[in-house]
Amino acid sequence: MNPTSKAVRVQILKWNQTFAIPWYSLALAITLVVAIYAVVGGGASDSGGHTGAATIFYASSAGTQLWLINQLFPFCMAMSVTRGAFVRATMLVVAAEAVIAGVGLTVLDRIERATDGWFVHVQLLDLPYLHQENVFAQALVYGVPMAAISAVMACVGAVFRTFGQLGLWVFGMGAAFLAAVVFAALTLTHTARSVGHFFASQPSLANLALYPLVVLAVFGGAWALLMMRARI
Amino acid sequence: MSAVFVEDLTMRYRGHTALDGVGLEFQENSIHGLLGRNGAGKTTLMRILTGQEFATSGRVEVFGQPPRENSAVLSRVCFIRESLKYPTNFKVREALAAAAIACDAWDAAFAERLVRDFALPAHRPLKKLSRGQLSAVGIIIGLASRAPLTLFDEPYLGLDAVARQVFYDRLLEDFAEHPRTIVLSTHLIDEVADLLEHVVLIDAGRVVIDADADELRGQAVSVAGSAEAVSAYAQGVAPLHRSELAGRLRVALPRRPARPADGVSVEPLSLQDLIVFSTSQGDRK
Repeated sequence: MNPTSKAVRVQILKWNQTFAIPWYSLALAITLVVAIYAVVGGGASDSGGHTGAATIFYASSAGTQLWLINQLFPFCMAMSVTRGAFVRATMLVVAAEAVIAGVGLTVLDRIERATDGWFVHVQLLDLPYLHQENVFAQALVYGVPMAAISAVMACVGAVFRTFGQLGLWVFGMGAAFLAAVVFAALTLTHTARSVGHFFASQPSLANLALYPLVVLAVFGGAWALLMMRARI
Repeated sequence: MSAVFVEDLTMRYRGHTALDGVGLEFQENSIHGLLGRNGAGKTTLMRILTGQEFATSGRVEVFGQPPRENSAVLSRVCFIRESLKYPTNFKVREALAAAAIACDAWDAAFAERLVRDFALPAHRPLKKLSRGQLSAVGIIIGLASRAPLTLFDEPYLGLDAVARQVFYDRLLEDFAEHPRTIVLSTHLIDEVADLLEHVVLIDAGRVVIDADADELRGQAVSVAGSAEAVSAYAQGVAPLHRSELAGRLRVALPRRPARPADGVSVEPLSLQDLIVFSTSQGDRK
């Protein structure tokens, strides 16, 4: 067995930790929302009921990477898995996670449409801005943000792994400072509205799949670089 | 053949030199003791040998190749350290399953036997184990991995005397059947003295002793008697340690002087005393 396969198998040994938690959360969200709408009839209006409850799916995936980097990575290193093998394995796991998210959520989206909002006229997945007619595009809209969130959280975990709590604080402050500078520059140059218009005029596929892909590349690249230098 | 070859190895952190020109060899299929005080540089050396830390300078070879990011080398290495972090939500059995995946020569039957020997609750989460039980998990992984190079860094923190004896017994039994290179770093020197075939003592980042264990045991002696008789006997040999009480003098000598021991008692110096007296903080009065 090659080193990357070993690292993948170790990472998915606790598969419910690696893959299943977002699905448990989503199942819970659907159950609760459907139950509430069934009781109160909130989705019976002409426009139907829209909820953002499905964001729990993405939010609850955020802890996986922190667990992988801060608990499983040192253990794997003790078992003499190389950094490179762990990084490649994590990339494969994140890719699989994104594909499963894309396909799974698209299937649920189609079920939601076919059942007229889970029989209670509620929309958790088929939200107006997320809606894509093409199945492949719909899977991208659901799956790529999942990978992007994983990359951001992995990068945060790697910063903590490499530089400790102080490094994480500097990273957070740096990100906040950068955001403030960008906001100030946009305000001072009166271009904030143009930027807003730019993103508003983009197709939702670009905003939800293409730009998250850029986030994925930037944070994923930084994460890989940090992991290759990580000391245990 | 050498399992480990290190030449002029230096490791510097900010304002601190952890290893300073270290050179040593660990021969294959032997049990080596890597000894020294806290902060001497033992763990740093083992981390470099296992690719977990990057040396500042020097040459490091494990099975003839640099270990850093080298899967061919590292697949033959297992490093169990006292501060090893386990995934806290793993159960004992899951930790062993992960080790079985990672270690090519894993012996599942041996691991099962060790779980019974250490009376470990196999289905309990690691976060609910005592310190000693966690150490037992590390020992089981280290032994059952049958890695050609297995490094134990203070592996039995929190283990009681009975469990430590189980470790020594199983280590020796398994080593006899499956010879491999074991590096054992510990402060319980007297307990492991009989296990060791080769001893490296590191002090303040430098190798102070690098010798065959039998040779060490035979050479160093403790001499006691009247101050005059001991001084006369030990003349020309710089003592490692000296203590005097009520006119009786006791000295530790690194080698037995080549003269008759008249009026003095001469006993072999224990490995632990030799290590204590050979370190820079030892009493050299």
